[in-house]
Amino acid sequence: MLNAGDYQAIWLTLKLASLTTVLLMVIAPPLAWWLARSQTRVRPFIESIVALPLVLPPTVLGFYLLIAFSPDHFLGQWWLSFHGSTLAFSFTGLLIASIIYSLPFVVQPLQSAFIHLDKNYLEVCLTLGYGKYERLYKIIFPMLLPSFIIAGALGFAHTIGEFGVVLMIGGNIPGETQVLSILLFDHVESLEYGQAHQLSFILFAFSMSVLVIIYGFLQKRQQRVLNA
Amino acid sequence: MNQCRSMIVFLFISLFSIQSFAALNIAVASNFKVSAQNIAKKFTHESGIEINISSASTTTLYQQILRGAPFDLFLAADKKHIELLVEKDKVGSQKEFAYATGRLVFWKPNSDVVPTQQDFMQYNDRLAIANPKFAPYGIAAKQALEFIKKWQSQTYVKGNNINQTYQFVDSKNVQAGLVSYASMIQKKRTHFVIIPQDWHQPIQQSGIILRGKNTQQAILFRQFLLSKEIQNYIKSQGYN
Repeated sequence: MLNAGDYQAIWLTLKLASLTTVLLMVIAPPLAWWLARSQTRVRPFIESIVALPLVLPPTVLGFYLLIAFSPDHFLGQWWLSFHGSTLAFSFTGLLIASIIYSLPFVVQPLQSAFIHLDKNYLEVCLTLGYGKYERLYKIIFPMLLPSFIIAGALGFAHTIGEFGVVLMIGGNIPGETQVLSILLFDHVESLEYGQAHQLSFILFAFSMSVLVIIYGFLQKRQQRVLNA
Repeated sequence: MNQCRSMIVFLFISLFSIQSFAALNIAVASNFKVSAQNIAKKFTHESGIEINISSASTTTLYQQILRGAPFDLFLAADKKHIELLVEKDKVGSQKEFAYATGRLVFWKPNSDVVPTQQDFMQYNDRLAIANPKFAPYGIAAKQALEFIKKWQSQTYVKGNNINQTYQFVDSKNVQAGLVSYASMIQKKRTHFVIIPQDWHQPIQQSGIILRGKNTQQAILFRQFLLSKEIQNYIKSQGYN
């Protein structure tokens, strides 16, 4: 069955995906709000940058990050002077990569929810005398809860499935950067098909469950709205 | 109607003619890709036979061949995967042949002087190596480090293949690594020291002709590859 290395990779993958999701749920909502409301000319530009990981091959992102993380460049140099080790081949490096890589999956559902949010609700907030934060906690968040859940779940699931970027900047270090998808690749390359089958099945079952849960939730809510 | 029929006949004939003039498909381990391209160019120039080169890690290519990838010839980075193909009866009556022996070097590009064997033995920062679980140069790297009793004490960054290992050091994300001598020659690098051959099993790169459509052309290419002229060229590219 699964050995200690496999369990370590499962734990590391869950840790990476959870941390990425938490950080994205902090970064993405204000960004999505701004993208949904802003009228400035730079908006299409920012919007494109956020959407880029959807379009670009992960290898492009991995290649650029490897260059950015090297001590020759600003980011890598700055990090090295603080921590004494490079960003590449570290868990923090993977976390940064995952945030960039999964950003559109979290921003886009939120952004479309914000766009479709009826203006009347916001005006009601004004008449009730709600401040900015009250408006967020009492109206926007409860109303758009499904979108927040979907955004978080997509970000989490997408990080679990990350492969190309990690392959390029991970360095295959057990307990640090050897996530499930990389270990799986490792097993296949080593012709260890038994273990590869097990890990593949775990990933498959997990992804399937997440998607069924999300779509099930959407369906229920749709029924509730239609029956209301 | 008649026109239509002759159209179809024409199409079929052209399809078959494409088939019969199909290029020789060669699967090459990524470390030998550039050399193989140069050799293929010479071969095409002399024989008129076109060559398509596909390169990936030896294991990836091996698995593709097992599942029926249409290659006529396989140039691996080791002997093991060729023997596995023979064992699994994927090669017909053809025999394996050795075409190059890889050499390992310790490369430390940012040092002021060219590193020595002593520097390698004393180096204790993170070291880039190819994955010792499956990459031929990684297996040799592990053997060399075990030979000087450093395997346990060292920390590693593992590349998926020897080219990625090179890239880790080249991008300065790791200070030093055990890479191939061929990459040093190809990229004209200077700050390296060759690892003695008796520190690890030889990295014997073997090849074999597969059950393809172009066996005759593949045999011609093998003869060309093993000819004195080409073997000398391979040696000049950092192989023994």
